[in-house]
Amino acid sequence: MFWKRFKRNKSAILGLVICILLLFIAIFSPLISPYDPYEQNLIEKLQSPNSNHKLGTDAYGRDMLSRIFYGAGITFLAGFLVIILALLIGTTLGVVSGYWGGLFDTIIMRSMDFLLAFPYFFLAILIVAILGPSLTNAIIAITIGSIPQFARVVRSTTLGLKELPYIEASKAMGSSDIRIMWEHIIPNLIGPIIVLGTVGIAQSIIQVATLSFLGMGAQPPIAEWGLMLSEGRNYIFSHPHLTMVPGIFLSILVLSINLIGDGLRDTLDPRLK
Amino acid sequence: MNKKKKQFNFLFYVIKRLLMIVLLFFLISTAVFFMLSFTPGDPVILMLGLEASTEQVEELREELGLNDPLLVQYWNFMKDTFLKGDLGYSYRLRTPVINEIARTLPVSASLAILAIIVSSFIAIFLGTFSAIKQYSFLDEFTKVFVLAGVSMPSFWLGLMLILIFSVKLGLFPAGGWGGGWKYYVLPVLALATNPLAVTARLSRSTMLEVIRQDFIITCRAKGLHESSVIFKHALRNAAIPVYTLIGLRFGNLLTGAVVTETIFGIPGLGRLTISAVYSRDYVLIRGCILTIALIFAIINLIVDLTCPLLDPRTKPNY
Repeated sequence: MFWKRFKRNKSAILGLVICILLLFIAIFSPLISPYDPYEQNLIEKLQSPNSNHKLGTDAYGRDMLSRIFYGAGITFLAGFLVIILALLIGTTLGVVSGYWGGLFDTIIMRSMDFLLAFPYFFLAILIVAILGPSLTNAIIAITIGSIPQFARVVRSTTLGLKELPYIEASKAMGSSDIRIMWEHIIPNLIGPIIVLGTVGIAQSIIQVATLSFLGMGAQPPIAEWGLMLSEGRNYIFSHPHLTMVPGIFLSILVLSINLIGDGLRDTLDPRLK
Repeated sequence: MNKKKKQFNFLFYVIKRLLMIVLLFFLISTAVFFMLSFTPGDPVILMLGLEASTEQVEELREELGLNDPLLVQYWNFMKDTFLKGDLGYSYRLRTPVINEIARTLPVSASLAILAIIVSSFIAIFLGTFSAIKQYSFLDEFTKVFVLAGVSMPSFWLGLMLILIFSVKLGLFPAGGWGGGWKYYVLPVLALATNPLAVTARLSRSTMLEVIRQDFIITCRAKGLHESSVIFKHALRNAAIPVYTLIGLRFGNLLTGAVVTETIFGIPGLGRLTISAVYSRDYVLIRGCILTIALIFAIINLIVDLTCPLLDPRTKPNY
């Protein structure tokens, strides 16, 4: 039923195909990369795309195509990690504070408001400033920044759900709070969570790449797309392919995830169309 | 309710909100102070370099008040911030932080305001016309533009703008600041694209909803000209969510400002923050973050207060 409706959405299918393709590249990057992405070869540095190096080489003579392939894995991993962590924490906080209410709810939601008082990205910058720049810390920073939005949406949905008769019926039959949350509330949240999560992956991929671009995420020599872009920046006048290629891949990946997200939203929640 | 009482309630509401901002600012200052005080690395050694003598280090530590217990430092910081509006001295630049912010904030603000204006107007135009003529060429164009706009990372967009308009076409400078309007064009474009895309999508979907409502049918039934139906009646309703979300988009815009200022070498608040993080200049980081949080809170307050002017139905809860 779900698949039937989703299948009709052509652009979402296109997004799915592109995304799966990039995921395959990411998974099989060690097998399909023509060169070692970290091997420097100063004789062949700064080559434009040619038959040996399909996407040229960077300032250290590293093969761009191989670096792009490896970078796909890092980008996917970072995006998924952020969203999985943020969803786990955000959903738990949201469900519990929505269901229990009271003091717990007040404390959690005020803390979320507090986090939201910083513009998202500056919270991440602050966290990186404290923990020091690295890919792991960038992931932690973006995760913390993403938790409040999930917690708030989940909480407000839970508030609506917990008043429904079947929850009351379950309570009357003696179910514990934990059981009600786990068996009756969370399954009903799957739809909105999937939609939020998909859009969230696209956002967090951009955020992690942005932090890396600014030197606050992945550190050299990691083959991360944002970092590659910032390394290529110095050669934008002479070798523009170094900035164009990682950006094109990044945009296509984010675009494909956004297409899937739009398709999922139309399928799971037709009202929002 | 009589008019006087209404005005009084409004005043009370404004004061309440302002007090909330003060409280929030207090909490944020406290949190930022303690978070940054636990960071590793000695700012004095960062300032003087590793070859500084022990006496020099001690002297400067004493001068900066870093030998005081943490709570004394906290008290001094809060006293200076709240009573004197003094954010301390930058470790690296050796200037008052407030001066640095006063120097960079107008630059960022002018960029942000231009970007908000440009993006809101074009977005409402695109959103409105693609909703009126759903499935037309313009509508399809808007859809593609929106998807591209939200999918392109702003740093890449900025670099591509430089590549096309300054490297290839030589129309605008690739970076720098302070030479007239030409220096604004590319940064504003880079900054405005993402909010433009988000706003266009929002105003399109709102407009689609609005033009199906009963009051629009009434307008048409009483024989109003189509342009009057759209521009006088529908547009005003469709503009409300666009306006209320300006506050939210302003947060994204600040993110964009960091990136754009870095790429184009613009001496704004975003670049100041980044350079402070690079040089581990904690006093400067603290000052920048506090300023940004305060601006963010004030923008949201202004949007909330002015919203009833546009939409009398949305009364703030006073």
